[in-house]
Amino acid sequence: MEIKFIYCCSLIRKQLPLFIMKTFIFLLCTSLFSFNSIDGFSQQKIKIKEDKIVSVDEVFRIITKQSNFSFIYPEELFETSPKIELKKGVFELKKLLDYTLSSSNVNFKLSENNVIIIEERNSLQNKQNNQGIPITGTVSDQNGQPLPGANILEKGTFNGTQSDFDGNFSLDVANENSILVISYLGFTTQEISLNGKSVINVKLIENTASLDEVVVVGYGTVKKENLTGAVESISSRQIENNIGPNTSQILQGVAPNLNITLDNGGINEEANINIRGVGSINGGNPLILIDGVQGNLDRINPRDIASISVLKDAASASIYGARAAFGVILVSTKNARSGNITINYNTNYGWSSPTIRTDNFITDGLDWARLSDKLSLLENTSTYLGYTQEDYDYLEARRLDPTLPSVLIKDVNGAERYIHYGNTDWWNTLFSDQQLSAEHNLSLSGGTDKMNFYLSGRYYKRDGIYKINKDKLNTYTIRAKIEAKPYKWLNIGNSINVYKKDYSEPATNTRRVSGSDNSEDWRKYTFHAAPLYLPRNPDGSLIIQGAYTNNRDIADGTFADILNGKSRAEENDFEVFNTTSVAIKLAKGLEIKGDYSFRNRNQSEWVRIISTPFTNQPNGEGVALYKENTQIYKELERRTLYQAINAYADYTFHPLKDHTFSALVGFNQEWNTFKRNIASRNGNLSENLNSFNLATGDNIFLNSTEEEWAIRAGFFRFKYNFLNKYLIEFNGRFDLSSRFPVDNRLGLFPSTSVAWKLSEENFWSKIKPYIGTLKLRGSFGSLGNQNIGAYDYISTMDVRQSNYISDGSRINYLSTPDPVSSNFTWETSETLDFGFDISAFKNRFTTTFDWFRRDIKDMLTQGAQLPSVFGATEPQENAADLRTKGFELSVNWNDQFNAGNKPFNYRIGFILGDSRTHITKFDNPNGDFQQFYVGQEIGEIWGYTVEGFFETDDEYLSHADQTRVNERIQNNYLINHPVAGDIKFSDLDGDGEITSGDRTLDNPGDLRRIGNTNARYNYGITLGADYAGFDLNVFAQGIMQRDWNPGTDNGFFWGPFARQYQNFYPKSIESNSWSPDNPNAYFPRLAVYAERGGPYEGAQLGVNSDKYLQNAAYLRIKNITLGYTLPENLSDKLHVTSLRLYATGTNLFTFSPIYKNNPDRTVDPEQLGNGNDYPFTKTYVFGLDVKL
Amino acid sequence: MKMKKITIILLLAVLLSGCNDDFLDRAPLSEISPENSFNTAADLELYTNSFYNDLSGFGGIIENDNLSDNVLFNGVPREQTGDRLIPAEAGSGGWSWGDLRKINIFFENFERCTDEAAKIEYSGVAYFFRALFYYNKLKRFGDVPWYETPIGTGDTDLLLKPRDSRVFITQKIIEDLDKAIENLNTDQSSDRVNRWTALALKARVCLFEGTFRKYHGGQGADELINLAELAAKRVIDESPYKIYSTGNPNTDYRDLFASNDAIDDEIMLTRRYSLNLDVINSINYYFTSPTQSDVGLTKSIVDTYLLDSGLPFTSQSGYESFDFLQESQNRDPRMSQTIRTPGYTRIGGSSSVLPDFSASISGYQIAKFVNDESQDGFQAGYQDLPIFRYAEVLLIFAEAKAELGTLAQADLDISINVLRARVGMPGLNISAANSIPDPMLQARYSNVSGPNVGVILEIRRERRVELVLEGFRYDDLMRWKNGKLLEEYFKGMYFSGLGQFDLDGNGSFDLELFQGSPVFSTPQTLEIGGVITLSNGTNGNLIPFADRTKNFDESKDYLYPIPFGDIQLNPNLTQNPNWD
Repeated sequence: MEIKFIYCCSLIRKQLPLFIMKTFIFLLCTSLFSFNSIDGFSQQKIKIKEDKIVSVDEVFRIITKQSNFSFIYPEELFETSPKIELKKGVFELKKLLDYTLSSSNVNFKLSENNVIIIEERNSLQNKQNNQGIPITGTVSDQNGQPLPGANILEKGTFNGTQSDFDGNFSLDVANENSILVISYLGFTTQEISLNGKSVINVKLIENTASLDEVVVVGYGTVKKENLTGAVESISSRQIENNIGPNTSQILQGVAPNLNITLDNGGINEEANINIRGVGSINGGNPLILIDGVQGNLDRINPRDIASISVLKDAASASIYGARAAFGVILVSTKNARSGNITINYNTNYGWSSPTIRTDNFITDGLDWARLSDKLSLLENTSTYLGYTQEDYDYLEARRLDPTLPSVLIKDVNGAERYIHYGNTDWWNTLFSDQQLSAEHNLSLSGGTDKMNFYLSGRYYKRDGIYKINKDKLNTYTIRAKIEAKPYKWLNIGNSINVYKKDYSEPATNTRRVSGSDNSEDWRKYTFHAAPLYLPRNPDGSLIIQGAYTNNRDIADGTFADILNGKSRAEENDFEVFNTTSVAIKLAKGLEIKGDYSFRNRNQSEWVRIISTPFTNQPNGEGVALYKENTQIYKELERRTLYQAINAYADYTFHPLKDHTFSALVGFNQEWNTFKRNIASRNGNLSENLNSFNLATGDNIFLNSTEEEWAIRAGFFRFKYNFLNKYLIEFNGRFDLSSRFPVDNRLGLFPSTSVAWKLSEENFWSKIKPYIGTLKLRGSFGSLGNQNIGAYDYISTMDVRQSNYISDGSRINYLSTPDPVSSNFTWETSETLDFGFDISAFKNRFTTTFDWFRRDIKDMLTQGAQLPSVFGATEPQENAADLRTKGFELSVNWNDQFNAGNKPFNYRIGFILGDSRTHITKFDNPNGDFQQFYVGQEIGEIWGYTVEGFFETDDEYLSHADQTRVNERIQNNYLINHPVAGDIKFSDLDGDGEITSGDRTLDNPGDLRRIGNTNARYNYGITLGADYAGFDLNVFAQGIMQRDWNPGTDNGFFWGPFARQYQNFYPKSIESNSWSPDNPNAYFPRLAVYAERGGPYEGAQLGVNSDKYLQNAAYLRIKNITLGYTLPENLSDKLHVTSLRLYATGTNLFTFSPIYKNNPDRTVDPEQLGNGNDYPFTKTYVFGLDVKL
Repeated sequence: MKMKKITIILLLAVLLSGCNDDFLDRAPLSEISPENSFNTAADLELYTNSFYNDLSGFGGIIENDNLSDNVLFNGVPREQTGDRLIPAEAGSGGWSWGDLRKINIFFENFERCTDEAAKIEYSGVAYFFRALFYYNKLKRFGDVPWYETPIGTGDTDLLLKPRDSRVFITQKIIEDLDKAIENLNTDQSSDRVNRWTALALKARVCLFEGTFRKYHGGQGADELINLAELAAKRVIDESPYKIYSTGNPNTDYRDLFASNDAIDDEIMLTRRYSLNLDVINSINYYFTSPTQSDVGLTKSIVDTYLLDSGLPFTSQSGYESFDFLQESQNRDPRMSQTIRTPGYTRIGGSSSVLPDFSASISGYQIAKFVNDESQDGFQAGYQDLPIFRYAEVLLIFAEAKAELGTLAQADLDISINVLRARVGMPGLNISAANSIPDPMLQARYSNVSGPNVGVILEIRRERRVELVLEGFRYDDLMRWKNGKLLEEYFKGMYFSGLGQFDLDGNGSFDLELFQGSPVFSTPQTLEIGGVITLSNGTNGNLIPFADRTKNFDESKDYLYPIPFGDIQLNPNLTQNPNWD
């Protein structure tokens, strides 16, 4: 007789969340069947021919073959059951079944027609059958969410039950000291000693490393053990301790080769995300999908995230085709849960301060002035400050007697003026080191099996760094999800996310208000604000220009603008993101799904700049308005409407035993319109109001940009699974994009992946108790990149406003059309990936490793360089290739033991990712390394080699000619040649001259590759433990290798070497500089303008050199969280289900070799560039989690 | 199951409705293609407006004199030290061609316009700007390739073209200018080019190239100089421009350059600035701030100013050791309107101020272009800058006629003497000038010969004085083949020794020259022995950077080198002589 499986639970679908599945099994199986007993059942004998380890299903197959019995049971009932070890021999059917099912929480009954019906045990039956001590309790996850369908087993018996919808269970046990074993798929199993207690509330800890986990992949889900591609799954648990303004910031270091970097520490800053290193030379970011639709991580509530899947290889991503060349991030938001309504409330309060030591700047007026004068006189005939000897005498006197007034009035340039003699700590005057933040989160969830909902809201508020005239961020997020199942075959859902952000900040006259850039120029904050100046004159008026130096404005007027407080800017962002979805079960194994989404975003900004009144004279004399030409009112508005349709059908079938096929075909189209309007006008009538009605000037600027794009695609997936050991998958997609000319619009992107579960083979049986799972994976596929402008293939002109004035206004003009290439199509990326997954020691140890090679082909790049007479940038052509190779590794250890009768859970995780990218094709036959060339590693730095310092003033005469690298000294300093204490460069090519040759590989002059800016070996370390209500998590993140040339304007690093008038000099800079008494110092003799010139010519510190290349590796303790959950009896008294208190510190400690040369720690190894930007912060947070 | 079918049908309907064929055709929404432009007069105007962006501002006008012997500043340019580098990167060092492509795209498209008058007018603008583009290339590089159509990526012949001779380029520039002169209107608008600016440019180009060929050797010099004369004469005869004069010889010259709005009577083309429109400059800052270039005039030009009697300053015995007060007496009034002399007051100021030695390395601090104190800050200035002014046309006219040997007194009376009249100076007399050429000038410009030497030298004096800081001097030295003048160590003010000085003769000391550290407590101090030395050791003229080598190699330095990168990219492109 043929084996006959009956699928009584056809509603079970893999993509449904696990607990719903469990619930349905439970419900349906208990209601559908009743059982009779039939005699003679046990007489049946079954012969086992050899020792083997098989699945439960396999045992049934053997029985069916040798008897006339058949089985009926829910299809996936034994998916989680352990394998059965069968010994050679002949066994009674009853005994074999008992043995087979002993570890599964099921009953079996013989029905008519020799059908054996297997069903899950339920609590009611157990209650009736057992006469013991009644125990009740609830099972929940660590967030207090009830876990329906968890298994509760009395240890050493078959006595067990499952929890209900609300996680409640009751069980009669034999002994008041019994031990309960509580297990749930995807969670670490716990054993609880009753010790006479009759109420047991258990919190299961999610086992993040478990291979049983269900992973969201493109247009579906798959059990992690059946993955064939390189997919990293991040559970909500991994990020819930990370507290930050937005989601991207809290994902840093969580997954290997998911590289997240921030340009600065602004409270409004969104992170840069990159998967597996350098994408195309044209950039290119991962595709981010929220519940299947393109969206932005930072506009959803981090606490709404259920899981994140990072699709890294082409095979996993190719179903997203043209937009997925650089990986895909799939975010799944939390779903509604049926059952009683649960309410969670979370709140936290914190404060932040800069990670750099802002107290290590020189703030002593006299020290600063002396240093500045010394440097000024090196390159100028007069001092920069203009303070006289008499003033210096007074400063000396004031140092001895601080009670002397800090401001005197003197007659200078024909008027009485204030002369300042202060010691102003400008940083701490303007900026705060206690930036407060607060977060509130509330979520509700509940419903019935026909209809459920999830509703959440978040309010996050943060004050920024400005002490006076503060900057403030307020964000609001609301998510509402509703799901209805009017029929068994129909599921309709709607999910809406509303995001609102308000960011208000001070503005100054140097704000870049032109065009669409509104950013504040932090560099200006460091100019000219000598500590000598007090923020205000004694009469309270603002000072911008000192009495002697009417041309050098303190912080270019920015500090006075902030103190004056009239100039402000505000950004508002409002987005509604709605997805409506339908799922229809057409037939057994066949389901079709469709969704329509729109995302409507409105961003608006305004900037109001009001000229600040200032003077350096007493009695209200000489008051003028600062830079009246910058006074302006500006508004900027951006509107985006994005729409997407997805429709796909999924079919799974088993044509033959041991063979499972599934197929998916789908259709996707997306279209987007974007419009931006900018308007500004000068002549503000009001200092406080914002309206064009109140601006009357002639300087009117209007600009609008509008663009749209569309893509349309078809995609498929075909999967085949043989014996659950051999898996193969084909994915593919064709895309049509509006960004390419008609003939080049179509892109076809196929991929394939295979996996072999080695551990399922018979020969593995001896190893299996130790290494339970070993899976090998391999994949290859291609993807497209359409990350280019909407109309890059068309030559266009637009109207712009000129600086040329005619007829009393700035003239408008048409821009020159850029040359475009006729040959212009997709960039493609091909990825080869090999990986393995291991779980060992009963799932306590898991590890995943992937090696990959990604070839980006036909990259759009400037065509071959043409002679300059061409007169334009060469049009882009698909002419370059690059190759990235790398790996990622994650290792996890998860365990539990009992300490003092309480479970102690702990886990250790380590991730490591790395990639290197080389150019494999680029039209640069001369090997000019200022462009890309074949063989070049992306990020390489060419520079000179430093031999040391000149020891005498004449030594330069006998050394190679350094004119080109000492151009600054040669032309601008008052001595025109290098002297003792200047840098001596090595003449590598021995031509008697330090030069950069032709800057080609053949003739690099004295340059060589001295380093690489690529961040190598990104790693993360997680340590976690829970015990007796306490939980501790430590998360460290870092990179092992990275070279950095400090930005030439980086005064925080270079101090006065950058400019003698920057005000934030590290205190140690002078003692770290060469002097006859300190010939082994790190820096050369003090001199200004390190930054002038370029990387190969100009100033001796401005050119790249090995000595001043910094090692920007770092290890940062990103997060330490300590939490305490109140014991049940206490939370009961408070009438809450649970209550957890926690404290979190972010960015608390940083270790980096960079500090060797920056002992004042005024630079942050994560914040590179010129440093003149919003500083990174460390944050302390205290919070509370309540469940009702 | 009926529900089910309906749902499926609805779903399919939604999907199919999205499948209209033009879904993927998305044309630009806020830009136009060249094919859809160049149709109307407004289109042509908008496109040619972009050419005006190329006109010089501050850098090309005022700073350009830093290369010459007019100005001392805080550094020595490579043009004077002889160590100019061959630029490495293609397209750098002035070898940029984007502006030409922009203009040639106009020529490729403008014929489509249906408005014939607009075609004439705006092609005139384009011809003007192409001529200006090539004039600048000619001055800098000599031979350059000529293009009159935009180059495509595949136009190998054009891309790899060798250089055309400067004779050919000059010919083409003149052809363009003749079309510009014919096509452009005659509206007197100083921020738009018109027929008169085109004529002025033609006069400028022809004089430059004509005298260049005359002094460096070359064919057709006189023809070109004659064209310069004719063009200049046409401006004089036909245009509405005149020399700005209100009858105040001591302020008119200065007011012309300090006027916030260009004075249209004389300024033919201006670069405008406006506080209200936030188009600003840093002119005052440049001349008054101690952290800028510390610019000051050289002794060489200060000595060039005549005495108000019309006699050369250098004809006085012992003039070399006149102190500042003494040398400032009885001079051409333009001197006290160009630099701070004793008694100088700022515009809008009430008390006199002295030169600030911390803002002027020579001591001769600039007053020309300097406005009232409210514009002193960095980017706080907003006065217009002249690009073409009528005075230059008069100077071209006189120089051309003098060089051709056709100059008559009447010619001087309508040119040089108009300029002199504005500042109350006696007129230049041709026979007096030719009978006793000024020996100082003769020594300076020793390659001038012929019967008109005297008057040519005086016209050169007039040109240098009148046009100082307007960006002409370096080009003049190049075309006159006087590059060797750049080898001199430029001097500043004269001092009889170390110690205190009363600069304005009011009885109190204003400045101390010291070595080591100051002895007295004078308002200003100047260290001798560091950057600045005195020409005779313990006394003499200030000489900054006396330790620098100065060198002008006549075999190569009259032209600039072509970037190495471009020569690599185009093997047919030859480097300028002796730059290899």
